[in-house]
Amino acid sequence: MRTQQPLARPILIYAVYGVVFAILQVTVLPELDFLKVRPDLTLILSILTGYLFGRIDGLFLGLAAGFLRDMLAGRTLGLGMLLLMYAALAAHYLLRDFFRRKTWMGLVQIFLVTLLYELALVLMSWFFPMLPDQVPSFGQLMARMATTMPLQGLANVAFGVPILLLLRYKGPYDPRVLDEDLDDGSTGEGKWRLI
Amino acid sequence: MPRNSRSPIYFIILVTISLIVLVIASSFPGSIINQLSSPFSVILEPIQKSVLNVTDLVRTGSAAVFEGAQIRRENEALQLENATLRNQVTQLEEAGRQYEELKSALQLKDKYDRYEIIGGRLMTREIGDWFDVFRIDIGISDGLSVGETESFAVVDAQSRLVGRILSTDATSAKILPVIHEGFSVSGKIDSVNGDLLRVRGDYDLKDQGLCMVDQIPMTASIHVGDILVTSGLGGIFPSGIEIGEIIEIRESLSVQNRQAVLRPSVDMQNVSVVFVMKGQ
Repeated sequence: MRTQQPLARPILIYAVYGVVFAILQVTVLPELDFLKVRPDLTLILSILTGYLFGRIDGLFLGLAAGFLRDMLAGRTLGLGMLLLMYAALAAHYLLRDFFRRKTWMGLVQIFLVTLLYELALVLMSWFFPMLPDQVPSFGQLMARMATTMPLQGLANVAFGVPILLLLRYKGPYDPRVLDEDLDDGSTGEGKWRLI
Repeated sequence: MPRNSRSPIYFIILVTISLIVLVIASSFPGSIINQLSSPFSVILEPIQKSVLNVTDLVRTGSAAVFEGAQIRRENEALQLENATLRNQVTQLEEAGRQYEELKSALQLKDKYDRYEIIGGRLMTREIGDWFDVFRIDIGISDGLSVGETESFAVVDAQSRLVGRILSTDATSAKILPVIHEGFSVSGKIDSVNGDLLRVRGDYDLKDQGLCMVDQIPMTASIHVGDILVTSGLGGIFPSGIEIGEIIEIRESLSVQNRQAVLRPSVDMQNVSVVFVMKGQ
């Protein structure tokens, strides 16, 4: 049986990445005028964590990143936590057998989960309109999403490349362990279950 | 084994229900739940300010490098203008003193005298749909506390409407911007006996930085180029704050349902310092 890695490293790395990405997203990215579509860094981080390191890591990272998102730019507390938690879980379960956690398939996963995320926002806007007398039609919301989604998805995939490399090689777990076996208990799932 | 594989599902269901309750509880205006973020705001504020300062430095530095010659020319022109303005300031200071004396004597009431103006720096901007409010570095510790029926107008340095305060925690406040689909304000055409109408955010227009004008009275005379200001109805926004300019009239089948498109006067992308108008 392999010796378990200490927990401090993943917690510290997730905390640093979560805070840095959340702050960059709301301070630096809006200043980059040449970016017509802003990548969603905390969403990308949650998706890749769920995909690469399993549901438990994804779940907690999604909750933490979602809290920062709610705190920094959300209308309410809890919504970002809910969405990013499910984004991470979707990334873990979606096409699991097909992708087999191959690193570069994480980029495909980013696009797919971004699509689901945008769809969830459309449904929420439809069910919970902000002004009671102004209820947008579902068709109107879907048309808007169809216009913005492809670019948003591609922007997330493009910014997902460096984040993927960061998590893979400077991430919470030793890359050698990841190369050997992802499901043997050395990373996310097994580690948290042990605790 | 079955017990192990089921327990995460129960946990996820429990977390989901808890978060839904949290969302509902924190969506009420003035909810104390929103203050849960206070400790984190206190911790994150210095980091955010450092990042903002670095961003400003980089922007200023790159501008200095790329626009050096232009800056030098502008500097010379500004020095000349500065000398002229200094002379004017001296004259205006004297005129100001005379005005204050006159004002006291005649007991003139400045229209914003009832409001305390609190300045704040924009800390964060929107991420996307549903995460689209701004955050500023003043909060409950500065006397801002939003209630169920109480909020505050937010304007820029030129007294143009930016939005209203949505929620506050110990050291920060969230602003619902004027282009947001949840924003609504009673406005009027900036003229003598200008007609009342409603200015609100719109799903489709907000991406272009525009607002919708509706509830236009049948008898109202509204034209492209008209400036709209707040009417003062509703109690949150003082009257006379500039909202924006009409850029398009949308005539529908009936005159009752006329709509117009408004371009807000405030430059949302470049505003960095805002002022909260707190009623006294």
